[in-house]
Amino acid sequence: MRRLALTLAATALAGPAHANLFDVFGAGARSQAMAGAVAALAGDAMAAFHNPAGLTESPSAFIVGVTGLFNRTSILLTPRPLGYDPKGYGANPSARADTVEPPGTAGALLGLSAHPFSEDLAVGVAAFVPFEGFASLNTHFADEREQAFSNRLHYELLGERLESEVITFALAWRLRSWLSMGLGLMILPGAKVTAPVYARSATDLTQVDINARVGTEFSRALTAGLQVQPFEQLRVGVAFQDEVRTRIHGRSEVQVRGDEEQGVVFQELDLVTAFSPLRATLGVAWVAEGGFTASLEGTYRAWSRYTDNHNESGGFDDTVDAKAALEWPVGERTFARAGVSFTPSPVPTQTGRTSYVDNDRVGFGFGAGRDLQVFGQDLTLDIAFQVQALLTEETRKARGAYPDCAPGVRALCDESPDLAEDTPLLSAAETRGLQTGSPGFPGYTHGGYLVAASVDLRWRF
Amino acid sequence: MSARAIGLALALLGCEELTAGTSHFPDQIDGGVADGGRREAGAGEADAGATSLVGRWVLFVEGPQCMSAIGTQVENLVWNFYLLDVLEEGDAGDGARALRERLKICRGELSPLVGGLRSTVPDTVADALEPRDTSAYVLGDDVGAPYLGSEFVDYWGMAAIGADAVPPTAVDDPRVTDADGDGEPGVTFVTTNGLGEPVCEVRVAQRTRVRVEGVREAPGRFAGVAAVRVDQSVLDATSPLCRAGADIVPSPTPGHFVMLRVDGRGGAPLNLDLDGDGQVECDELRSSLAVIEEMGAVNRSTPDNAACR
Repeated sequence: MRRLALTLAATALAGPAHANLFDVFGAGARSQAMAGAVAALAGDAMAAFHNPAGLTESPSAFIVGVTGLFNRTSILLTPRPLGYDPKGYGANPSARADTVEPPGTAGALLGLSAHPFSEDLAVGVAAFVPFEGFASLNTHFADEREQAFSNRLHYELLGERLESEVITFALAWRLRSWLSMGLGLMILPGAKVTAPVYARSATDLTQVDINARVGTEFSRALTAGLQVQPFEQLRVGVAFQDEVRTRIHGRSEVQVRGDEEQGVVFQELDLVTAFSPLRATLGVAWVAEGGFTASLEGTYRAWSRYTDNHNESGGFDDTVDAKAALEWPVGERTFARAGVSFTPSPVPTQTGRTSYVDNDRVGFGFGAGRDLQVFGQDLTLDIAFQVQALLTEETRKARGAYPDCAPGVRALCDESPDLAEDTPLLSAAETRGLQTGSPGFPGYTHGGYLVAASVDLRWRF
Repeated sequence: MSARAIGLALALLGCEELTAGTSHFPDQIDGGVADGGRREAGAGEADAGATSLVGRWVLFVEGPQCMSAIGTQVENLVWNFYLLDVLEEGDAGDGARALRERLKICRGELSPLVGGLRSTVPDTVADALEPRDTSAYVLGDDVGAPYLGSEFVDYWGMAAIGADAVPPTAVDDPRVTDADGDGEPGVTFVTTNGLGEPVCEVRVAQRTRVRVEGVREAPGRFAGVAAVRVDQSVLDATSPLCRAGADIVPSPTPGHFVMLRVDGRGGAPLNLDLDGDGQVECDELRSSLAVIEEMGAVNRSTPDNAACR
C-alpha cells in the first residue's frame, strides 16, 4: 500500500511520456502512406522527427491532423498443465487471462515549420497528442511477479506504448545548395518522487499519513540529420536519434509508530514507462521530373540497451528495419503514395523466465495528397492508411532444469524451492518439481494487426 | 482490391485468427511428471503400503441403462462424478479397513439417445443435492486389495422414500421436492438436439442406487464394476416429446467405476486443489474433467443399443 501511494503520486505528477506511434507508423499522413520511408525526402514539419535536415526543404507551414489507431492484437495463453501452481496461486487477485484486442487510441497531430530569418534556416516542431490525455503510464512485470497484478501478458513495445504523446523540436541549415544539416531534441519528462509515510499502527496499514516531495525531470535525446543532393534527382538522408527513456524514480520513507528500533524503512521505486533506442537511419530517394519519387530506407536501432518497466535489462537484440515507398502524381495537383516496411522484433525467443511479447511486423501504407486553394490560401490535404501485420508467433517455455527464482535468474525458475521435509506452511511434496505462476507459462501465441488512419491539413503561409 | 484478397493477404502474413497453443509440459504429479517421467516414491505401481486413505477422492461411475426413446430401445449411459471424502478408517480385522465415506455429486451426464437428442443435467441440480454418507471396506493394504462399497442412494427431486418404494408420479405428491430450487417440482433436465439447442425441459423425480466393487489398482486408485439402477418418474415437461416416460431398467452391460485420490497425498495421481485453499470443491473437479479424461484416468464407454433389444 505504501508503494502504491508513492506510485500514484509519481504517476499523477510525471506528466507525458514518450511514445513510439511515430516510430511505428511514421509522423504525419504523408509519411504513414509511405511506410515512414521519408528520411531522404524534402518534407514538411514532420521532418523534425524523421530527419531534421529535411526542414530546409519544407515550406513555412502549419499542420493539423487527426490519427486513429485500431488495435487488433491478441495474446492467447496456453492452458496450464496440472501440478505447477505455487502455493496460494488460486488466491491471486486476478485470474490468468488472455489479452485480446486492447483498446486503440486517437489523437491530434500538430506541426509547424518556418524560415524565420533566412530561407537557409528553418525551425520545426512535430507533435502527437492523444485525445484522452498526454499519456497512459502503465507498468508491468514480464515474469512470474505479474501474477500478483494483472496476471496477463502485455505487448512490450506496442499497445499502451502508443498511447503517449511525441514532441520533437529541430533547427536546420542549408550549408550548400546540395547539403543541409539539422539538429533537434526529443524531450521527455520524468519525475523524482520522495514520499515520507508515517504509519500509526504496524497492523493497520489503512491508517497512514503520506507526504510527497516531487521534482520533475527531463530526459533529452539529441536528434541530428544530413540531407545530401549530389545531383538533381538523387537525395540521400542520414538521421540519428539518441536513446531516451521516461523514468520515474524515488523512494518512500516509512516510519511505523512505536517501532523506533526499526527506524525509517526505505522502499525504492524505479520505473521506466517508455524507452526509445538509439537509431540511425540511411535513406535514398530518387525524385524524377514530374514528381515521381521512389525511396528506400533502413534504420538501425540499438535495442540491446533496452530496459523494461522496472529498469531491468530486457536482453533484446539490435535490429535493422527496411522500408520502401513510392509517390506519384495522379492529377494536376494530386499525389498517390504507397509504401511497405519490415520491422524485425528485437525480442529474442522467450523460452525462459521473462515473457516479453513482440512480433516481427510487415507494414503496408497507402494514401493520397491534394493541393487546394481555399479563400486564396494554399492548403494541402493528406490522407493515409497503414496496416502493421504482426507475424503470428507461438512462444513455448523450455523444459529442463529450473533454478530457484532470484534476482538475475533468466531461466524459467521455480518459485517454491524444493524442501527436504515439511514445514508448518508447506509440505515437501508441494514444493517438488517446478512451481511457477508466471502468466507466460507454459507458453502463449501472439499476433494480429494494427491499423492507423490519418488525415492532415497543411496550411502554407 | 477485394475484401477477399485483403483477407487472404492478411492470412498469409499471419493475421489469421489466433488459437492458443497446447502445453508441452506434462502434468506434474507430486513433483513428478505424468508422462512416464520421474515419479515420487509411493506413486508407482508397487505395493501401496499402509498409507492412510483418509482424504479426498473422485468417484466416477458409469451405469448403462436400457430405456425406450422415440419407439425404440436404446442404451443410455449414466456418467456421474462425485467428490468422495474418506472421513475415517478403522481396523476391521484380518488386515481389512472399514471406511466411512461422504459423497457429493458434482456432475451428472447422460449419453446421447437417438437423433442426437440428449438429456443434460444442469450443474445446479448437482449443486443442490446434499452430500450423503456411506461406507466401504478395503481388504488389505496392497495393490490388488479388494474394495467393497455399500450401496448408496441419491434421491433427486423427492424425499428419501427408501430403496424399494415406487417413486412419486404426481406433481402434488408430498414426497416430491423442488430439489434444484428452480420453482418447478422435482429436478429439471434439459433435452437438447444434435446441435445442442434446447428442445424441452422435463421435471423428474429420480432415485439412483449405486454399489461399487473393485480392487486397489494403485495407492491412489481403485477401479472395478458398478451396479447402477435408476428409477425415474416424469412429473411434468414442456413438450409431449419429453413428457413420455421412459421405462428404465439396468442394461445387461456391466457398469464400472474408478476412484482417484485427488488431494495430492498418499500417491494421489492428481491434486485438484487448484486454488490452493486446501480443499477440493466441485468447481475444481468440473474444471479438471477434461484433463482427467485426457490422462486416461477414467474412460467412458460407447452405448451398445443391441444390448437392450
